[in-house]
Amino acid sequence: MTTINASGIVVARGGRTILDSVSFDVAAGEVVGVVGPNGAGKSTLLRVLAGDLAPDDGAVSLAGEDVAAATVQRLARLRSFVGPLSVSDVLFRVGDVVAMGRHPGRADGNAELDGQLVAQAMARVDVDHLADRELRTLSSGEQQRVNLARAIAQQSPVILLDEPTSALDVAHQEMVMAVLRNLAGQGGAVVAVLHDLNLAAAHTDRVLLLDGGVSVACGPARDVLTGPRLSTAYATPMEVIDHPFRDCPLVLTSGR
Amino acid sequence: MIQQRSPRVAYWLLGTGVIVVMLVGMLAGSVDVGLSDLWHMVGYRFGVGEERLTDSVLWSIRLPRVLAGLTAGAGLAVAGVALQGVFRNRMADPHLIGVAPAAGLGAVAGIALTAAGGSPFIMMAGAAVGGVLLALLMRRIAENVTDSAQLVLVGIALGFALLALLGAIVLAWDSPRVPTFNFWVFGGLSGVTWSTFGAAVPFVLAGAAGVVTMGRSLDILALGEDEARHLGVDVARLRLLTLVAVGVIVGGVVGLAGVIGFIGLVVPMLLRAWIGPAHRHLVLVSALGGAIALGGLDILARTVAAPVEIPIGLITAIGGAPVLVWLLLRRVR
Repeated sequence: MTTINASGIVVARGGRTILDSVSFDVAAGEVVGVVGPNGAGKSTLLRVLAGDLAPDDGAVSLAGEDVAAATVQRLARLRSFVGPLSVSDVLFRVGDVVAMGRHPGRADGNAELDGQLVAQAMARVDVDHLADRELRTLSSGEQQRVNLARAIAQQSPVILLDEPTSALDVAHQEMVMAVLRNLAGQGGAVVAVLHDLNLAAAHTDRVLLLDGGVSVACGPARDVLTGPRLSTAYATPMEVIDHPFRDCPLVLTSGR
Repeated sequence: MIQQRSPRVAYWLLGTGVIVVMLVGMLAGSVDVGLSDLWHMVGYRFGVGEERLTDSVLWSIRLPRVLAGLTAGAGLAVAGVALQGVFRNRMADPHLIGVAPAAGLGAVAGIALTAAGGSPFIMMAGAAVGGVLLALLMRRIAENVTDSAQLVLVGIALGFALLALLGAIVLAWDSPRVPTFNFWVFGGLSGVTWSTFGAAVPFVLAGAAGVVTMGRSLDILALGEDEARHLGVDVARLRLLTLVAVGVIVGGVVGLAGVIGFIGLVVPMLLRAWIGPAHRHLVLVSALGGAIALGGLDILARTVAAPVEIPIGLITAIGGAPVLVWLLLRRVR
């Protein structure tokens, strides 16, 4: 079942085309990685999917609902969003921040369930031991996991993430990607902007490669992440080999 | 960092503080009264006993003044909490960003529009309109500044200009219908009557009730505008409603007590460090704290140099400025 449908997305700003007729679908149960060089339009695409940015052309639907017509409250029940960090001055404690993820579902009025969902979300990304700490006192990697816990607590069918692993150590990167896989396993549709091509190769069902606002290729990592294609997109020589331990490609930069 | 304590302790301590301030406020002043006079007045109001001179002093002068001090202090602190939440800036304050001076101008406009004799309610309504307009102007300015310190500086500049304009109008008009220059610029509770108090209360209560209902959304806004939107908070609507509520509160407060600084800034800052940032408690605890602060300082204003009364705004500045400096240097949130 298609959960995310984006068709013909065009975004132009200041005479520059940031996204040029980008279309793609994500089914329930899928993890899709969005990759591409800086300025490719990855974050802009994510903001369009989230309903933060109205495209100049094209349309997005989430779980069958037109994003442009949905209210702020309705959108919060359709999608969660893990964005870049901007929490340096937040005085709330971790437990309170994750509990804010239940705000969109507050109308259901089940406080006990809310409490359980918050506790589970914190445990899943290994921040339960930080519950009583103030958010601003955490490292950026810990803050990033708290943001993810908040999104998990939101229990939305669509989960959008902008570089969710950028501040994480290797072990927590693997953990977060496993959590995303798990969320998809529970019926979620997950779209993550990733800079680490090997995380995308190892942990996603499909990869969307953007370059200059154009969708270059979209499909399984083995098909999309090829040496010539990546070398062109990133303007740096790259090679792709078989991962020695995993059933996925391994991207290597080969230097100039 | 100050250790966070249970809000229950804060409610009890501050609630008791309000009662103490109220009692002391009733007993302190140029006419010597004791607790027995206070009980006699209460009895007389319920039809027990003969009238004494102290009954009318306590009922007609002190009680409205004490209640006005508590109400204005509570209103200023709640307005401060709301402004700090909506602008995500701990230095936002109704006086500092110009809302209170604008309310003063609105009040004077309200007086000008009413027939001789005047109506306190229309004066408060004018003040509320002035406060709301300035608060909404600050919202427009906030959209165009990226640096939160810049917002406060713009507010300070506007506030100075509006206060000067207000002072000039009041001095030039020089009519017995208009409260004095001192009242507008330094605040004052000496002219409070049951009628002005009664006119101000609905504004303060309505605005504060509005702020209370927006507490949860203001909590979420602390994470950032994008995050709040992603969690289903209509940020534009929240800003509009909160600023209207602030304008209405400040309208009531300024119409009642003139322009008074520091309460809306220092009280929430102290109490946030004590009980934490959650608005559902912070708004109510700040209301109690603001009531104690202004009620207590008003007692000082009318006793330290008796029979001369010191304008309340001078006392809040003398007391509030050092506390603010201390808080900022200690980096208390």
